[in-house]
Amino acid sequence: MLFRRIRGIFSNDLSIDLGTANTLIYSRGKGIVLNEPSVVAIRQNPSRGGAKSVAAVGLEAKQMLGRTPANITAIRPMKEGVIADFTVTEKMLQYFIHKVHESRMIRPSPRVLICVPCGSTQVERRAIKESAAGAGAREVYLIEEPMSAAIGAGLPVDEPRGSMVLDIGGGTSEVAIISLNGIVYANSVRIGGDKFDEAIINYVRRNYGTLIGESTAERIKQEIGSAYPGSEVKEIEVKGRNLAEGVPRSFTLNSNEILEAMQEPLSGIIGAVKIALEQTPPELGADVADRGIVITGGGALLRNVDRLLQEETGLPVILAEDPLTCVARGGGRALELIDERGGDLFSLE
Amino acid sequence: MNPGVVEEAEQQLEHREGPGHRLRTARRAQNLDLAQVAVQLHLSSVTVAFLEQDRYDQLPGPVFVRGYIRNYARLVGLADEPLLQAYRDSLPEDGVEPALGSTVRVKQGVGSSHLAVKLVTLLLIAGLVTLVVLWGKNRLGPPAGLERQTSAADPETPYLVAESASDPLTGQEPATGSPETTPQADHGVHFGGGFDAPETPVANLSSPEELPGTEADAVAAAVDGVEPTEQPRAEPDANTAGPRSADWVAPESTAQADVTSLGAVAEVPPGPPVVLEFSDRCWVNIRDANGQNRVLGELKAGDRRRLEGEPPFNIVLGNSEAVRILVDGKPYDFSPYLRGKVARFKLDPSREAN
Repeated sequence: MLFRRIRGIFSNDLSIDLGTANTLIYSRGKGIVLNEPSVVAIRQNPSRGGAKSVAAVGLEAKQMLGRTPANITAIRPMKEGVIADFTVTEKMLQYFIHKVHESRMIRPSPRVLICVPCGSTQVERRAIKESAAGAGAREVYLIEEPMSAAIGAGLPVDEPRGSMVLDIGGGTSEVAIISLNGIVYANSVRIGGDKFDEAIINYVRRNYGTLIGESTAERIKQEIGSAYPGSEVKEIEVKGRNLAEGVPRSFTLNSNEILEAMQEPLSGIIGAVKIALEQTPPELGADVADRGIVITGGGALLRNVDRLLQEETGLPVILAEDPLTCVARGGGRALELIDERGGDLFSLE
Repeated sequence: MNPGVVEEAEQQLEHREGPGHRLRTARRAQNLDLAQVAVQLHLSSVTVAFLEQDRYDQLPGPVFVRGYIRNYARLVGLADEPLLQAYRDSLPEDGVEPALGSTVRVKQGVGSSHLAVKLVTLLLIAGLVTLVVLWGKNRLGPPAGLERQTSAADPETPYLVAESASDPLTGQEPATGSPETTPQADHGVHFGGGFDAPETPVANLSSPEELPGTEADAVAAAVDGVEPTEQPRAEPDANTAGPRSADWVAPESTAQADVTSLGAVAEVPPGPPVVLEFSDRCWVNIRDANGQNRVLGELKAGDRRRLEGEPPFNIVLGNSEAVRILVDGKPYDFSPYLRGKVARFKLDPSREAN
């Protein structure tokens, strides 16, 4: 315990956005120090009795997704915002924490704040907490993602006015109304970037009889994906395995097709926002109508998602600046606020 | 919507190159009026008017203003980044938010991760370690000024505060107790510290072969027989160590100078002499009335120590069966103080002798 404290002196406080798609780490006084995909490649070594070892983590491991030989498995240990593989998540966190302290001689033991989906269960939260503790954290705090996202986006969460935030992540989308440093209403739907990719894969298989991988689907989404019909139609040429012929074939997709493909997950998110507006107390609802909804998370990078929401809700919708890092930055700011004003400021666990 | 306010705002428009002015120019170029833009942006006309006038104090926080500017720019077909940059430039210095991205630096208070805190902590730890080391040295080490003599006298038990510290006969004690004492050690005892010592007397003194058991015993007996005196310690030695007095003359005179120069005052116990004889290994801790360690450490079979310092002595014997205490030559019974093998007691030799 004492050694952990001494080691803690030489470690920076970290805020971790342990996301389904990407893990971001914000270090106090340094900013975002790590932004890597939440992917781990595991190598099975038959010569050592099938012992497993970590082959790669992060970007390197993501490049292996779907391209691994038999003895390597590239996996994503987080699914729908929560831990799907406890051990691998712990290894991944350990690797990331060490990576941000790599120049230190003393093994780091930082204070860590981790952002969790507001819909996660106590069991899922405990798993995240223990995973971080196992990765070397001295103290682990959990904060709900919408609160962290709102702070990171720069919303005036401490004011007695309603602020509405929508965080579209890789595995979940969180919508919340915040006032006076507290969450008035929050809801989490297990729809995120992954569901968009899945929808694109299904669309291509259904309409083109061709199978594409997750990475290809993600590339399509990033390059031509749009949530609202625009004046410009974009096209992309992709290659996949034709299911009838069994050989790779090339074909072209346009942005309208992708828009059509993503209708289902998009409607899920809009539905969640509408329910949140319905559930919001009228005074706070009026504040939101006056100022608007702020979108954060990687899903905010989907083209015209703000316009879609604007048209659907009739409210001003604002994209946060650098939406991908809002949650991690907000967590870092929350850590600072805890030090400045005490731990009771936010409902931390 | 209040049309009066909007009109007034339009009339008061200043011609300056803020983002609001550029947005307004672009709107007019597209023949859009304020109300149309407000409807499309889902904002009130007043908000749009304030935006065009760059009156940000009338609008919600920067995050909202940036969003409004971006949406407005997209509506009128302008690139949003130059407008956002102009907005950031127009903010007062203290209202500027830190740049985003990987180089974000958030101003922070002095926390545990602050460099100053780390440095102070390191200094504190270093200071603490130094203090502990110094304390340990003072506690375990010999009295100041005599350290060199002690360490040289018995290199195997460096932390023993033997009576050698104040008694010149100590030079002989290792010879009787531990015959493996090296010549260099003896050299250090008497002549360390810049004195040119004659070679032969040292050789005579230090060689175990030249100190036969009988002679050593005689010396020990001489030690026991030495009466307390106020004289400098070198002198009685020269007289009592009869058989080797010839050899002792030269070095002792120098040693006397040495002792005087070091400022060490010979301590002679005021009461009858107390001698400890060891027949086996035994942990010993003896402190005098001043709380100073007189003997501390493990002694071996055959060792013999004469107590110095001001009585009464606080004595702790780890293996009391292996110790015999002689007060004024008579055995002292410490069995009432035994607790298992360990004896803890206070010994006042003058009282015991009476």
